[in-house]
Amino acid sequence: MVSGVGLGFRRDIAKKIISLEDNKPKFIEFAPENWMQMGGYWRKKLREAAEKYPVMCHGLSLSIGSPEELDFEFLKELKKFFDEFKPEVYSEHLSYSKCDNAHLYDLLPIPFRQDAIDHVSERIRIVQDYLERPLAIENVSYYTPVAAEMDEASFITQIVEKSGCNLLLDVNNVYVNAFNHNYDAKNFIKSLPLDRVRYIHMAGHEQVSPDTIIDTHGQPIIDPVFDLFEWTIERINPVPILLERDFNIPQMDELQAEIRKLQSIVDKVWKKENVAETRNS
Amino acid sequence: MLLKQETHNIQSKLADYCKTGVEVEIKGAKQERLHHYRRLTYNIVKGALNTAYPIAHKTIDEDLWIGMIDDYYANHKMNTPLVWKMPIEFYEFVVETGYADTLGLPYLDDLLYFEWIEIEIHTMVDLEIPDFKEEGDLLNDKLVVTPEHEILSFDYPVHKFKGAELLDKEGSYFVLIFRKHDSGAVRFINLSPFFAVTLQNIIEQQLTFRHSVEATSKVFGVNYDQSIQHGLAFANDLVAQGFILGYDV
Repeated sequence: MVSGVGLGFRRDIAKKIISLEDNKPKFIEFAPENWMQMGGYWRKKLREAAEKYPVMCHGLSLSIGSPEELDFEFLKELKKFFDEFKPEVYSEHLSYSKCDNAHLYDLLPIPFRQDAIDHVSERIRIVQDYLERPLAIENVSYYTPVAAEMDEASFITQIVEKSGCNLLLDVNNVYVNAFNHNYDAKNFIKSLPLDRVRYIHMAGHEQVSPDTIIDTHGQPIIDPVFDLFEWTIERINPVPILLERDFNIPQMDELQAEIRKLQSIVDKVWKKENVAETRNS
Repeated sequence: MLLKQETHNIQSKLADYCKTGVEVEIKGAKQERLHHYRRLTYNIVKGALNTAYPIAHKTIDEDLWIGMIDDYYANHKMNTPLVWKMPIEFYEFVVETGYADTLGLPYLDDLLYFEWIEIEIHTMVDLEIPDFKEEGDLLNDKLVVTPEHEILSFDYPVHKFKGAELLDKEGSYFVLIFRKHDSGAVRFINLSPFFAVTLQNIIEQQLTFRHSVEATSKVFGVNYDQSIQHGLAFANDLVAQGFILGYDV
C-alpha cells in the first residue's frame, strides 16, 4: 500500500512533477474526468507520470448524491480508465454535481436526510459492484445545510456503515465546515467512523467574509489545519495523505516544502506509534 | 427509488437556482450563503468557455458574450461529465439557438467551431496509424497521413481575420487541421478549394497524389500540368509540416 504524502497532478505542474528526481511526492492523484477519453500530448504525459508514481484517482462527476439514475456509460468509461491506470484508491465526493440530467461541475450539498442516506448508500454499493473496487467517499465542504434533518457526522457515518464504503477524510473541509457552521472540528472528527478512513486530503482555503471560508485549494495550508491534521492522525491508522493545490499554484519548491511539513508530522506521529507498538509486543 | 420526491425537489431547487440565479427559498438553508453555489458553478462554466473560446471571448462584445453564457447555463442541460468537453455543447447550443443571426455576427458559428476543433484535435483519442515506409514516390505512391485531422469548410475566414474584419468576407474557405504525430502539437494549413478536394480524395478514396490531382483538375476544369506542379509543392509542404507521414507498404 502507498504511504506518505502525495501531490495532486495538475496540468500546470505536470512536466515538473514528471521530471522531479529529488523530494518527489510519494504518489500522485488526478481526477479521471480531466484525462478520460483523451489522447495526444496530455495522454502521453499522464502515462509518463503513471509510470513514475503510484496513482490515486479522485473523481469529480460521479455525482453519487444525484436524484436520478447512475450514468452507466460514464461508469463503463471509468472502469476502462482504471484498467489502464490502476489507481490504488478511487475516491469521490459525498455531494451531487448533476441534477435532473444536467451537470453543474461543482459540489452541491446533499440534504442530510434518512431517504438520502438510503439512496446514496445504494448507489455506492452499485458503483462498488460495477467497478469491482471499493469507493472512498469524501466529506465535502458546504456553505449551507439544505433541508437537513440530522447533523453532518450522522449523515456521513450512516452512509459509510450502510454502503460499506471507505472514508476519505478531508481535514481542511472539516476545518472549513466547523468555522462556517460554528461547530467543534475535533468533536466532529471523533464522531466519524475513523476505522474506515482510507485516505486523507489536505489543502488551503480562503476566508471571504468574517463568517465564511471557501474551500478554494488556492492557498497554502494554514497552521490550525496542520494542527487539526496532527490531532487527527493520532487517532487513525496510517493512510496516504494528499496535498491538493488547484489554483494559484506556486513554484514546486514551495509545494515540496508543504509536502515535507506534512511528512514530518506523519513521521512524528505514526513512526512514534510504531515504536510504541514494537515496545508493547 | 429510495429518495423521496420531496428530497428530489429540494435538490432540483438548488440546482435550478445555480443555473438561473433566480432566488429560491430552501427549507433550512442559510439564504445569505446560497449565492456561493451559484457563483462557484457559474464561474466554472464561464471559465471553461472563456478558455475554450479565447478569440470569441476577446472579440465579441462582453455583454453579448456573457448573455450567451447566461442563456446556455440556464437553459441547456449539460450532458457530458467531462468539463473539458462541455464547450462543444455550447457551440451546438449557439448554432441551434441561432445566435449568429440574432446578434448580427454571421461568422459566429464558424468561429466557435474553429476554436473548438483545435481542442478536439489536440485531445482526441490516439488513432491507429497504418504501417508505412519513410521513403517513397510522393506523386505515385499511396500516402499515409496523420490520422487525427479534419478538413474544415467555413463561410468566413475565421482562421485569418477577427471581429468586424470578417463581415465583408463571406465566401468558401478551407483549412486543414491536424495533430503532429511526434509532438502532439496542432497545425493549421490554409487550403484552396482545389487542394481541399484533392486532399479529401487522397484521404477518403486513398488515391495517389497524381490521380487525385487528375480527378480534381477534371472537376474544376483546369489544366492538369499546371496543377500537378503546384500540387508537388503543396505535397512537399504537407511532408515538411508533418501531415504526410510516409508511404503505404
